[in-house]
Amino acid sequence: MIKSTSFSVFCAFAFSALVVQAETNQYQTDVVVTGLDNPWSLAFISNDDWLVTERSGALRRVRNGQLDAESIKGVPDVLFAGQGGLSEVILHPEFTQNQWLYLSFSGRDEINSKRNALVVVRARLQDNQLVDVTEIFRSSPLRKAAAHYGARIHFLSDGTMLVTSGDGFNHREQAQSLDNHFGKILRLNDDGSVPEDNPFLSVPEALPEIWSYGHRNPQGLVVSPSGVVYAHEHGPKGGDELNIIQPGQNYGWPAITYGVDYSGAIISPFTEHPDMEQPIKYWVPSIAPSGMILYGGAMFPQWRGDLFISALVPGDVRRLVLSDTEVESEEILFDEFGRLRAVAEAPDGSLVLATDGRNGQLIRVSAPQVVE
Amino acid sequence: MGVVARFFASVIIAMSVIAVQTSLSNLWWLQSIDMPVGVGVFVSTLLSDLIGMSVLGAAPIIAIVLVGLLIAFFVAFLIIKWTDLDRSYLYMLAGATALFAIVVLMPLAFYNLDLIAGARTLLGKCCLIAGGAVSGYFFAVTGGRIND
Repeated sequence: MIKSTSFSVFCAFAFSALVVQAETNQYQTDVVVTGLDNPWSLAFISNDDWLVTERSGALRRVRNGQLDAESIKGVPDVLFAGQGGLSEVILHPEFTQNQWLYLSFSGRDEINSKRNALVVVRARLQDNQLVDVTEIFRSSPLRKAAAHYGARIHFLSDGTMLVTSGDGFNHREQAQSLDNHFGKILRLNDDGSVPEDNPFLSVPEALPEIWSYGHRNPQGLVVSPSGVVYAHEHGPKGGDELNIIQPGQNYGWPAITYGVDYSGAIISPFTEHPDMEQPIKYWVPSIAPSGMILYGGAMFPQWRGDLFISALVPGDVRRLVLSDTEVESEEILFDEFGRLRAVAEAPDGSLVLATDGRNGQLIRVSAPQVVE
Repeated sequence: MGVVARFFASVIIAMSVIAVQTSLSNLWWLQSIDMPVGVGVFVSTLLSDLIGMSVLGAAPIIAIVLVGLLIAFFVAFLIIKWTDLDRSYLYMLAGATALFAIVVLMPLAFYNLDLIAGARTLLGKCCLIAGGAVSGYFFAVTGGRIND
């Protein structure tokens, strides 16, 4: 009797230990690349062939875990200042056939070099070089400050693409007007032309590219398999937001906000308005959300359908569990690497994180290897 | 009133101008897009900005104004000592110069970012510079020759 009880107790402890082991070791992290200069965005040609932008202006390639010494040639000159520089790289949905990729960046105006704009170019990648580089979008009007570009791109299932355009920091009120690109999410065809069903085409003086407005500095953009568009944006001091984006809607900045100005001043005393959309989640204090994916890989089936948001402050990834289109819970992961600029999902379902700043790293998050 | 008290009062005057101008410009714009700005909202925003911009900001505006006015008033004091120029005008110029440096020159060091929202327009900049002049005038007229 005593022996069977002891054995049962032993089994219970052993099982508990195994459960704890499984929970704490559900992934392993490996630093794959170091020495990147302000990495900002990743794209995967294949599981072993990655593209990564450096905000300082270079497009780099990582092959079989090794960073190519030479950067890809043909990248346009960028304005690397403040928050500006080379930002997004994204492959065309049919990249394997057409070799098109897209870059976003802050570009100087050719006539007045003291002014700049958000620029999107399309190019083909051939022999480690960009050819047929074509500018397909330039934001209007120009700005003096080098901040709040947005600059995230994502394709919709209909082949059009969404581009986030920030409020330029000094022009926040312009986010509420439809006659400029500040504080907007834009929708373009893959050649930069305007889709015929954009929501403001028939509105006088509205810019035709506008898809939604009232944003501050949206840097996260994903589309679910069912077509739900999620976007996050930096708030001021507090008030970072995660929104579901619908065409034609007003997301309120700066008329409604959960944050205050960096100076301590009120930006708006209002947090709601019947004609403006509410976020599905907001953060006070700020986490400075920088990148986002909607996980759909095979490596971590327990994470499928969750949003992963990389954050700069203090530096971690927020895993948001969604129930329908509401945020059910939030878990903080990968908080040991400092400020994180990007999170991306590789074709094999592993995650790749990019740290912020000089000497940036790429860190691969994968299922733990079984030791035999 | 001692020189230290006069100086801190001048700082408070300059900060008050900054806070009021920021509040007014924000609320004026909100009202222009039909947000419900009433008397209560106006008063609470103003009070919040007076306190918030002084002590709660990530960028301590009051410290920047204090340092700016300190340097400017000290330079004015030296000029007064060595010249016969009118102290009122000199301290007004000093105050205006300090605020000019804060609202016009400081953004140049931060990639043209206007950290004080009220300074984003030419009118706003002029108001804030005028506020600096007012604080300088106050400092001048409340002081006697002995206290200098």
